[in-house]
Amino acid sequence: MIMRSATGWLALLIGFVLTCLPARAEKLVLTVSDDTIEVTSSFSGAGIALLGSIQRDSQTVSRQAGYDIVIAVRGPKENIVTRKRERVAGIWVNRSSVRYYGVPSLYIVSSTRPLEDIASPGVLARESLGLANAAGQTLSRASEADLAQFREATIRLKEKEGLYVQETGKVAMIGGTLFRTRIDLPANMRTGHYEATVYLFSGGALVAQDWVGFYAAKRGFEATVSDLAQYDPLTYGIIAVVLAAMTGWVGAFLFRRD
Amino acid sequence: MDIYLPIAEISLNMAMLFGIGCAVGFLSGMFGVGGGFLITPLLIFIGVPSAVAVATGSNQVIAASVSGALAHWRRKSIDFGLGLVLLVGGIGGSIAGVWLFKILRESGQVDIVVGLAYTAFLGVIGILMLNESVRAIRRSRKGALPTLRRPGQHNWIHGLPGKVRFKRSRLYISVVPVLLVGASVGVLAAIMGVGGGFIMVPAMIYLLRVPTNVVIGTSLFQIIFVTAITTVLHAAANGTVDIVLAFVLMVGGVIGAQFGAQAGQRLKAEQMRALLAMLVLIVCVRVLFELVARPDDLFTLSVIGP
Repeated sequence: MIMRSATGWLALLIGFVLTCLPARAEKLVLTVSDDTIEVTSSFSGAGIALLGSIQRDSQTVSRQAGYDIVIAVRGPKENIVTRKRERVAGIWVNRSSVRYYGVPSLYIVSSTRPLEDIASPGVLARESLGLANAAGQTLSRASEADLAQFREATIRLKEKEGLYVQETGKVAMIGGTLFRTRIDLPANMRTGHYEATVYLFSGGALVAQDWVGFYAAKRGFEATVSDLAQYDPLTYGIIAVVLAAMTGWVGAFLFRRD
Repeated sequence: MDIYLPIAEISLNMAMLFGIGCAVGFLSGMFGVGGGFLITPLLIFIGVPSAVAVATGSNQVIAASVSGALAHWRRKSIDFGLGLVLLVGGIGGSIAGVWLFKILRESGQVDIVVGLAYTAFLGVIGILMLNESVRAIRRSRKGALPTLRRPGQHNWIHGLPGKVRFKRSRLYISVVPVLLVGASVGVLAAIMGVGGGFIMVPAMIYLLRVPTNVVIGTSLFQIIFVTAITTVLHAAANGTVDIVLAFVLMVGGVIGAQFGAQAGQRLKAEQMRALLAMLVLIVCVRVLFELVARPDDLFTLSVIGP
């Protein structure tokens, strides 16, 4: 599933060089090693390779500053609620909460250099780059200080689950125009559509941007189970009951004690 | 080997889950209980979300109850009439419990309510049982005979209307308290992921005065159907039954129960009740600790929709 071998890389390279077409300005050409990640019973995370090329031609302006690349992988969007516990009569109870809408379930950002060296905070915020800019929108009317606290906690919890990652130096430039990175996806990644967006910066300005998508899908038995549970919960519940009753009956039959 | 649980959406070690099933099955076989009150907190401690732990606990209890009820059926120690009336109450209680659970889940209070329910019920039952069994042990050391049931003795329950005769139990009592006992156990089954035997058995003995020889069989008979309905309702309303997790646990449970039953035969009844009481109190303290200890992180995060 994951291409690690040299031949794998070579095949990838040839395949994508063939797709390269002459460009007027900088253009990005991207490809990933897998377009589908199969989440099976022994799924323990996956790594996919992303390979890209910066297309230039004679008409492209020359860049004094050189290139910086930021790659952001965003998972299927979800609505989440972050709750804060407070002590009430000796017991820790969820008291206040903030809901966020359209939050990427997974967010991995990697770059050639530290983000703050690549672009200004304003540009990073506009493009939602960096963990600080990752959480989604909220309609909460809590105070500014509370919201900042909740936002910080949300991102921290996502980081703890391994779903939000920010790393520097993992994007490798090969020569002046080729780059590659390895995206390590955690075992608890959600199923659905993922987008890896590549941002090309030069001298603090965003000069090109493009994305490539891939899917994470449950396969085999797990897919059947979760699909049934979701789309026909009544049948699923009845199957669960029958399975349990049969297990109990077989147990009583096998270990009959009288 | 890690196994991916499709509803809990986490990967857990299969040997550990099977081991939990075996250990709880051993204890449940030894003490003649369903084991739901041990499975659900254990699942929560190892990282299964509370809602999934409760619903999956209900599913797991079915298997243990079927095994037990079959043995009682062969011994003819099930009062089906009484069981059916308890079941009618139980269905009502289960529907109310699952509905309540859904509301608690949406408002984010399910963990705390499940924890409090466990602390309260396990605490009270554990203390009562420990007290009773220690007295029984003392009495048997003195050589006195244990006090027997006095069927002629009446309490306020016998003044209620709607009396029905239950043949096998040799009882002539009102259906109202029977329905109420059934309903309370149904609510507990839905909220705590248990069969509720630990409530039903004392209630049947002390409140309804059912003869002890039919108590366990009849309560197991009722628990099968209440946990079955609870499982279906949790699957339909909350989508929290993890069939893979339940299956691994119940296979371990059925095997463990056999060894537990053999071990149990070597102990005296009052010693077993004292041990069970201590186990119940240990679980109670552990759950209470989770509620009062300052959490590592005051914030929690949960997904509310795609």
